[in-house]
Amino acid sequence: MKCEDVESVMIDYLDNTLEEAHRHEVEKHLETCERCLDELKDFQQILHTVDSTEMEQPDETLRINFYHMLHGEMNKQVLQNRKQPAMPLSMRRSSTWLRLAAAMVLLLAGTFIGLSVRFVINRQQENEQVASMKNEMQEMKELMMLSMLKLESPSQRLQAVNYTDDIQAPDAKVLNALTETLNNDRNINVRLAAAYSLSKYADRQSVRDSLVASLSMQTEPIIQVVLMNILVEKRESSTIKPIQKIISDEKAMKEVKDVTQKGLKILL
Amino acid sequence: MKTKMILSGSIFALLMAGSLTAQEYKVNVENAKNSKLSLGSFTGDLKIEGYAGNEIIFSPVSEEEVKVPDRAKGLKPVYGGGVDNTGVGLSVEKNGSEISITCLLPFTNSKEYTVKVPENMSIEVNSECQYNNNIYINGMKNEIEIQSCHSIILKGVTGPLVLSTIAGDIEVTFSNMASGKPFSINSISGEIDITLPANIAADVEMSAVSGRMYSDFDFSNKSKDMNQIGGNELNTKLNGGGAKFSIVTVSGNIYLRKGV
Repeated sequence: MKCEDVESVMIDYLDNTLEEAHRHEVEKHLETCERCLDELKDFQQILHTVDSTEMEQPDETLRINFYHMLHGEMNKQVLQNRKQPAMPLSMRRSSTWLRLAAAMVLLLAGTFIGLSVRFVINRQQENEQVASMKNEMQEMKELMMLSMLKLESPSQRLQAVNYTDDIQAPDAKVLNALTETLNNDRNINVRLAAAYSLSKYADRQSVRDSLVASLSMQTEPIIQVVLMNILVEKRESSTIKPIQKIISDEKAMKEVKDVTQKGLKILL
Repeated sequence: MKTKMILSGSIFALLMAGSLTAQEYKVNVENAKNSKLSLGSFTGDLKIEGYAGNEIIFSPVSEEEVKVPDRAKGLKPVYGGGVDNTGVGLSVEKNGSEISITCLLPFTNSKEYTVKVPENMSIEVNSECQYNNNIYINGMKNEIEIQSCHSIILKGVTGPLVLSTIAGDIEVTFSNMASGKPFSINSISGEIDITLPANIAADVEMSAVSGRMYSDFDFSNKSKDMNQIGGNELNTKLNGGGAKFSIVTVSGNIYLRKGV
């Protein structure tokens, strides 16, 4: 193996990408050739510098210096070519340098793009983007919920009611849709799910009022029990009237009367 | 287990063989997956069996054939609830993709029916309290919606399930459970006994107002265990969570079993 052969693969050798046999040949040559070993050390030094500058944020002077260096190197090459037009070794050398220079350009360009991207999307804007995406998701879920509540399949209407769990601060439109579902959906389970969803906002007086109004309308025992539990837990005293109505209702189930009587005791 | 299956299979075969001699009524179903069978006002037990066919086949199960009196010769039986266009006491209406079948018999005349249904159809059953019927469904692979007053026994179903009853028990075992769909089951005074696949990914929400809850699922990492007024509510994510599986009962107990 000759010096120029070693030189041409030096970067690959340092990058550890050579095949085992090829690598051995290079090492064998390096043991005997002082000049190549020195060159290898130089390469190592350069690569090390490149690696460590990668971590730094290059400023404008570095960029200018680099272009000076690059121009100088190019001028040198032009001069060399004029002096020794057909010298293979120096051709190879300069081509290796060009490769390195190109690598540096790429590296710097990459760093610049990275930096400018980071400037454009700074943290603040990132947060804004996430927030607006969340908003859009919420609006989408709201729209989906409102339209799915009209679907024929009860499991899809249930899904629609469940979507309100993901809506952070539901507006009047959503709450009205839930109340409408609680009072009018033809399926008991869907009405019950609406009652549970509304119970999450039972801290609002308007929601408690519509729950009390609904309780006096509901005839389905399970919905009566669940609504009453929600309202008693919030100590909503206007629940007393509809509760007394249920207790005095001859047709009401014993199970329902038992539970409502307990609730009444807490409220009185 | 195997002998049990063979036994129940042969009982079913016998049942079907027996019913072959009785009157049958068939309805052709074109696009089963997008069609719904709606059943109402049945006066006796309703046994629904999913199968890989494209006809709904009704067979009344009755020990005694209703004797048509000689005087009725040339006449048809008529009912207050609608027109018997089947000859087996049922009124059938086709409305788009929905097939509605209403039993016309008075609630005093309890009659049991078995129905074979294309397994990919959706099913809706409405049964009010004056009808003394339990609902059995086996091997259906689409949405099942039941509002009843008595027991609901489902085996080898996939769901989604939307079940509600007043006084009966609800028992459910699944075959391949539909994923990502909401399930909702509630009852007033009956027992709710559900066997879920062990690997089910769901947000389970159980509430028993005055009843109790039992389970062999691990609820140690439950997000919330709230004691409500006279009741007990538990919300938890099983296997990372997923669609909502909600069970509510007033005075009955909830049994949530871990299946295979």
